[in-house]
Amino acid sequence: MMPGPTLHAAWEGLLLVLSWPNIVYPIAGTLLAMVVAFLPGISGVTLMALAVPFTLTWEPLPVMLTFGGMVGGATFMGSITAILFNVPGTGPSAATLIDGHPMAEEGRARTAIGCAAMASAMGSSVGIFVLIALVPLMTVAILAFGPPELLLLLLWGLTTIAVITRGAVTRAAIATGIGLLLALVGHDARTAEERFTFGALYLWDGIGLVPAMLGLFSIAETLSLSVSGRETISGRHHVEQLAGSVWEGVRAVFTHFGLFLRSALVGTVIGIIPGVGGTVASFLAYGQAVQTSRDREKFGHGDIRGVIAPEAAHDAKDGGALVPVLAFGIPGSEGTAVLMAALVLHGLAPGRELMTERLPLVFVLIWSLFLSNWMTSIVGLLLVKPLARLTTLRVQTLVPVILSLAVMGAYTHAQRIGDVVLAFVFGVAGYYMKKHGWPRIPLVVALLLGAGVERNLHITARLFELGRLDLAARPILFVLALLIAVNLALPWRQASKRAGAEGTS
Amino acid sequence: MLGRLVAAGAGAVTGVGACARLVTGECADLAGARIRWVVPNAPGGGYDAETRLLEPYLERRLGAEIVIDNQPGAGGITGARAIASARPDGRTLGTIGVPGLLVATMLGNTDAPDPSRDFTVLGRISRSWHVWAVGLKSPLRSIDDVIARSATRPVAFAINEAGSASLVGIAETAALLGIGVDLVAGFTGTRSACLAAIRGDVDLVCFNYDTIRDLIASGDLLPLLQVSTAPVAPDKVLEGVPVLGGARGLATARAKARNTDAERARAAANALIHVIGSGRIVVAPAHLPPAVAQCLSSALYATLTSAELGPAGRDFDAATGPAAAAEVQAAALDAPQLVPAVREAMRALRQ
Repeated sequence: MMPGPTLHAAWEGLLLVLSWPNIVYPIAGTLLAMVVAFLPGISGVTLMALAVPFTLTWEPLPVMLTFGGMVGGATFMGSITAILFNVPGTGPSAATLIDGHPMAEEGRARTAIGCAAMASAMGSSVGIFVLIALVPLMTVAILAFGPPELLLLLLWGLTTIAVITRGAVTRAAIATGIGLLLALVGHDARTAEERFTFGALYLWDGIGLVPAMLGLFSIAETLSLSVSGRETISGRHHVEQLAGSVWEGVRAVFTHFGLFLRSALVGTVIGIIPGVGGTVASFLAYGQAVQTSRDREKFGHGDIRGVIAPEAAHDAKDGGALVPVLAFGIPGSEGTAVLMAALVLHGLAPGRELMTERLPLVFVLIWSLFLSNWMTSIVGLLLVKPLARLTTLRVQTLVPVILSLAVMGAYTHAQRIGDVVLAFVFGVAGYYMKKHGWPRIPLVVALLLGAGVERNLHITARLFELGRLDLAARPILFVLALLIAVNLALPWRQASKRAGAEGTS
Repeated sequence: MLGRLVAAGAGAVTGVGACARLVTGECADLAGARIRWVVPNAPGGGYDAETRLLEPYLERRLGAEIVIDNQPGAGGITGARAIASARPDGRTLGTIGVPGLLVATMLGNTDAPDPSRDFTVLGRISRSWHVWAVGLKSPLRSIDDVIARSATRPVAFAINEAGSASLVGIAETAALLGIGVDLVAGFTGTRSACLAAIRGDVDLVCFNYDTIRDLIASGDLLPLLQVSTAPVAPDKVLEGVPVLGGARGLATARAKARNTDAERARAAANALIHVIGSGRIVVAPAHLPPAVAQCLSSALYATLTSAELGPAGRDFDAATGPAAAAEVQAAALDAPQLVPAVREAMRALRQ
């Protein structure tokens, strides 16, 4: 049961956000972040970094209000470009494109965007309400996840690949292996030695996930579109010819409410775990959606459940992700890193004092984020019609636009021209993978999780070597081990079932 | 462009107009110039936030336009190289962290500039006082406990990456005090390593006091040793916590107790404190004309110690140590003295 002081602080925080003129700050922060998201060359994170000096003379309250809005608004458009153009605007939206873009290709972009917007907004609500309920237990929850738990969690993520890529297990395993090998490029955090960098300083930080994803999906898509003979993405020339509707997408969230809730809870839990991040949350939620569905055949080919799961998890994660930031100063994303810098500059050091004595202020941030997430979703819904129209534009018009978006996305992420080159290398590889039926998702997931798996494996092995791991005192390890076993057993069980069914027929 | 945006905005909001220019004789050449300030990290985070905070004030003081150029990558080497390879004309300066470059050089990374040779030091933005701390549940309650424990079994430290300042601090301090250590490397950030200590996975952490001050204040971490010559902050929780350097420091006391050269131990401890404490320093390319260096250095120091920074300026108060060039230069020159102990720690990590 939620203790009175937490509830009181939550209520006080809500009143502060809704009062005049306070409400102006999160709205302005959200709108500003959304407008910037449309502009090529400035990412939401850069906007937040630029905003820090502007707010130096402000009181802590408007700072919390504004940055809460900016964190929510900065992710705007990520999923929309993923659905429309196969361009993941942000890391977490990469999981959305698996089913979102095929829906756009079927002429159901409106349904996909409507569904993404509603799942995001409601996912954010679940995340925040769970967060409010769990605030008193946050420290315990954060401390429960050490390197061994993180290792098994990430391995669970890797094994979901087996679930996502049904039927192409060998190819998926090879793509996973390539992803893991690519994740080894860079300097070894344990010994500081360089690995596979070939003397290039650019590779010291490893293969960037953002340029890799943009290449594998977006640039590969433009190449594929260019030679496909398709006239438009959706195969239609007029908006009236598009199938589906916004409300169909909105309704789907309620039709699949159980899936939505599970995904939102996955996102919330992942958010609370320090240093894991939204991209892992989205892919894990997608994996569990496939895993827990009886009819899985349509996943990857435009199944709306494949949009609900990552979108719900991604936004549900935002609330939980504030906990490690505010309680221990561990940012889970670039956005929360800038947020933390802003808070520290205003004398709001993360820690126990902030989570107890200044709890209403913490809730101001949480409610601002909540408001911002709903605002972005509502604006997304309002923009569905003009956005869906883009899928009826001629490919010759769209390809240069998508290519430009991908190039700018690759560059603005870290402002390195090498990332653009890397995106094109992955683009060519992605094109041939798509052409010859090789799954790209396992490669991306392995690249995403590989560094974390290796890092936590080394730490866990070292702690074990030093006799500092008491397995009996870490029950979460057993739960995660069970989940991994289920993931690994599932393809085998499916194959047995199929063999049984064929034998019967 | 980014610099302009920030300067314009900060000026509008804070009314920086009160800030007087310092276009004196030696700075006349820079008036109206465009100065590039290289930040070796992406937007956001400590280096970037500090620079953006200082930029409008320094800009007005110099009468020049400062453009912040974020050049992240390779643990700060990319940015450091950009500074070192620029023309020494006062139009390029930037922020570096000395310990990181030191470790990279020791690992044979020929791309990493040498902090004692490849730069003109202009001053220090903030210094970095390291402390050793244990978690709440640890049975080790004092540095004496640590020394006693290490006689039978090495104490375990959580550190971030092997190329970090913490590694330099731990390796050298442990060698000075005769403490056996096991390093557990690979944590993603100071806080993750601290959580490992709080959880009881490791015994100790060694980090900049400012970055773990809140965890110490809340009682999650207990400080056992200050890697300094005097108390690093006037905080009650640091009362009675021994300091490493100086005539009465633990390094000297331990050397005497172990019948080794106390004077040498004190000098080594002071060198370590110089380098680790050098923190975030501002540099320009080597061979910068002395007059230009003097202009930039004095303008930077005046900005850092000015009241015009307002509440945010507390980050640059005396405790965190802005300093002029001469003092910081010594830190860069002392860096090579630390090589043997750090090299030994790196070797142990690779085993």
